[in-house]
Order: sequence, then C-alpha cells, then structure tokens
Amino acid sequence: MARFASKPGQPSGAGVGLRSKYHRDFATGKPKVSWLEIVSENYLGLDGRGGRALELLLQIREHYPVVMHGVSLSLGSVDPLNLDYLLQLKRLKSVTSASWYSDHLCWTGVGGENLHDLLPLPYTMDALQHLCPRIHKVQEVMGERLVLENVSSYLTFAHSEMTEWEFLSTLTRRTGCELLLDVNNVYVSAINHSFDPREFLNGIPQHTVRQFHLAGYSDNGTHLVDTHDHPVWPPVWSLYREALLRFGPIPTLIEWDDRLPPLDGLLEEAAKAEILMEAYGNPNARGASALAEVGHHPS
Amino acid sequence: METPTLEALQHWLKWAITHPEGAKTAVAAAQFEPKPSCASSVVNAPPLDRFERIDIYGKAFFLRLRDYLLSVFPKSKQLFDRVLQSDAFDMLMAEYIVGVPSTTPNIDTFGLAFPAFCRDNASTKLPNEHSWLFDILELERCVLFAHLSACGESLIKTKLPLLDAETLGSARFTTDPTLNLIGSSANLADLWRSPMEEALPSGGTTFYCGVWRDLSGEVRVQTLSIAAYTCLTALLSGCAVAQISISTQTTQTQIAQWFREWVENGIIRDILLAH
Repeated sequence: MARFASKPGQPSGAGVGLRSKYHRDFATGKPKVSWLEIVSENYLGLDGRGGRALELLLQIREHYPVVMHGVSLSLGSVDPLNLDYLLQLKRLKSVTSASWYSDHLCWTGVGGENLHDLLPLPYTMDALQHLCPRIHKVQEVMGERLVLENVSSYLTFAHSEMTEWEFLSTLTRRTGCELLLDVNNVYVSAINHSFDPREFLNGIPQHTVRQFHLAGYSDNGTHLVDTHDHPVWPPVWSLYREALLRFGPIPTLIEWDDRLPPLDGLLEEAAKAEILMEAYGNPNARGASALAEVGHHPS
Repeated sequence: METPTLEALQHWLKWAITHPEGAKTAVAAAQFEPKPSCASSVVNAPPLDRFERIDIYGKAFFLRLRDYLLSVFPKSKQLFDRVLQSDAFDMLMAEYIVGVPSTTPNIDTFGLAFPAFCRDNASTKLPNEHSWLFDILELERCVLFAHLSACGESLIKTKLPLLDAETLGSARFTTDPTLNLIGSSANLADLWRSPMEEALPSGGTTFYCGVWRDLSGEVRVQTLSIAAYTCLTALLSGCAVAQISISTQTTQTQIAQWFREWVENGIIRDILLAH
C-alpha cells in the first residue's frame, strides 16, 4: 500500500474517494493511502463557504494530496454556465490546494433544474461546437485545465456522428482539456452499446490522460449500471491492465459511493491497483508484462 | 427523421426522465410533451427498447433523490410511519421530488425546503394532534443546516477575562450561526434520539429544544427549559444580558450559569461591546 507519494503534493499511485463515512478514520488516524479524491459539491456547504465537511477536509488535507471531482458542472447543458458555482469551485480548490479538478462529459439539467444525474450527449459536430467555448470559459475562470471524465451511458442517439472516443479526443485537441479516463465506465458503456472497450482505449491520445477511475458496476442482466457499490470486477481489472500498458502509471482512483465497505476494504482495492501499476505501468516492465500476458517469455 | 437541436433534445429528455410513470407511459399519454418529440432520437437497441433505456435514467433520478431525502430525514420517516401507519411520508417525498425540482449544484441542499413543502401540502390531511410531525421534520432540517453552515471560531473566550461585570451586563453577543430554536408539543430532542422507543406526545405541554454545532464541530440537539429558551431567544434578537434578566424575570445568577455553559458549548461565539 502507498508505494507512491504519500505526502501533500501531486497525486501518484492509487487513491481512494473520501466519503463522509471515512471522515473520522482520516481525521483521527492517518490511513496509508497515496492520495484522496473529494466530490467537490459535498464540501461547498450552503453558499460555497463550506460546512462541517470542509472543516474536516482541511484537517485531513494536511496529510494527503487531494483532487477535486465535480458532478454538477453540466458542461453539455444548453443552460448558461453557473458562474457562481464555478467561483465556489475555484475557492474550494484554493483552500484545499487540490492538485486538479475534474467533471464529466455530460449534462445534468436544463431549464434551471438539476437532475443530479450524468446525462449523455449526442456525439455531433453541433455538440462539439456547443462544448468547446464552455470548456474554454471554465478553464479561463478556474485558471487551469479542466480534466474531463467519460461517463457510463445507457442510451445512444440516432444522430450521433462519431464515436465517444473520437468526440473526447476532438475536445482535448480543440480546448487543451485533459481526460479522466474512467475504465469502469468504458467497460459498462462497451457492454451496454456493444463496442470493443479496447477500441475506446486505443482511440484516446496517450498524452491526454491525467487520471484513471476504477469502480464496481451492477449487472442487471440486460445491461450494466455504474453503481459504485461493488469491488472492481475482473473484466475491469483486465481492461485497466490494458490502459496501464497504453497510458502508463497514471494516478488511479478507486470510486466507491454506495454500500461502502470498511475503510480497509477500500484500501485493499487501492493496493491492488498499485500492484498492477508497478507491473504494467512502468515503461521498462511494460514489454515484459505484455509478453508474459500473451504467453511469451523474454530470453 | 429530423435531427433535434441540443436544446430540444435536453428539454424532451428531462421531461421523459422525470415523468413519475416512466417514459413509455409519458409518451403514450403525450400530456405536456415538449415539442418536437425526440423519442425517435434515442436508439432502440435490443435487448432494451428506447423507453427502457430512458427509464434507467428515470429510476436512478427518483431513487437518488429519495435516498438523499431519507438520509437527511431518517427520524421523520420513522415517526411518520410509526404514527400514521401509512405511506404518507413516501408520498410526500415523491411529490416533493416532482413538485420542487432541484435548482442547486449541491444535492446536499435539496432537502432544506422539504419541511415547508410538507407543512404546506399535508397539514390539512393530518389530524391536528399529529401536527408535531412537522416539527420533527423542521428539527432534521436544522441538523442539516448546521452541518452545511460555516462556523467561525469562538472569539469570546479570549475576550471574557478582560471584561468587568458592568461591561458584560451591557454587552450583546453573537451566537453560533447554526443555532436554531424550536418549540413543539412533542419532546423533539428525545424523539429524535429514539424515534421508535420514546412515548408519543399526549398534548398539553410545550417542549423546547436547540440545534447548533458545538466547538468540537458536532451537531447538538438539546432540550431546553422554557426559561433558557426565552433567554436564548432574547440573546438571538440582540438583547443585552441586563435586559434579558429583566424581561425574562430570570435571576442574574441563573443567567450567569447558562452564560458559562453556552460559552463552553459554542452557542455564544463572540461579544459585541457597547460604546
């Protein structure tokens, strides 16, 4: 556990999501984990000045690198960007010294309402033209690059003109934003829409990925749902190995939001990810690991 | 098929996802359906048809907000169920989710308007003797408010040793910004702690309680005597200690004892000196 950096600074290795259930564990002890990711909105409080959760986070923050992960930017919505919210995020990033901030390629509401759900976009030129200036605006307000996550999806649109990975790649090229590649989401969407998840990985430019997510899904028989309430499943670990071979030892976060295990259970998942990072993410080991996986042994 | 604009697509999807009876029923009824209809823009891809795919989002939407409300109002749910022996609380949650859409980026604040919604929409349906159920909702709203609010540090402890009795008597005080005081026909603090065990109110008595974040950061729910409640209400309204003593007919000794207690537990955070 925690083979990588474990003091404030830039995250590396495998981190875990800080959820309220674990606040006391982290505030009173110093569990060994490389870094933490917070859900930004949980620390904004009533007016962006934070409440009890932020007080605890600021104590915890002393001992771990932290990154911010948002769920309400609603980048793809046709509603205007919420500048008050963006400024609250900026303040939170400043007081927590978070290393970066991320959100999703989706929309969460329209007409002034927030559905608190990560809703899919059609992959069209129109949508690209809608998104690019909004990403530029976010980056201008925040003063740094946005890290954008691919979502799990359960429906597609007949008028999409490109694949999700082509759409994401174009966004990174046009705006300079980076990607949070959620390996579980790639797998869930691949099963739900019958594409090859490796094609997704291979379609993403190598230098654009800032972070990985891993999580557990639920199998509903006809489709998979990104529930974040299970350990990471074997097919996702397998795809993660592929991602490490392609992108290197990118900081990886274990996301677990529902039916939370005791902290030790979560840390075990992070430890597994770090073992794989060492085995598959090291440039010198990549060739050997890849060969070993396909049954060849270097002489 | 005409390609919908992003705006038309989003408005239509929002309508379909948030329809309580599901997308297929919503489209069949076509009541209030935004035009143009965008149903055919969603791909039918076996084993699920387009409506089943939309309903994955719909179910998640209702479940997420319902789970959130239950996490904020767990004791209210238990007490409504215990007292009314019906699904009234579940119905109120469902009506609230549809009737008061969230407009905030922060889901944590979605429940703040729930008690008022319940009072406005269910008070005529509840027998009068059960109206205290709205007070337990209000108490849980105050707990949520206390968690979400920023608290300054306590400044009074460093100032107190420098003040004489006369100065203290004329001073006004700043209370913890999360402090809320509630009066009810139910002993709310006890019911909040043990919603399934405590005796239900039998009427005739008024109970008082305070909710605030103490200096350790924990949220406290505490029963108050009527005299303490009256004094705190006066403090909150900006009265000086000397005035409080006169207006509430409480002895200076009693007020001094409460004062020390309230400084220690974080209710009184700062002092404003009269000039």
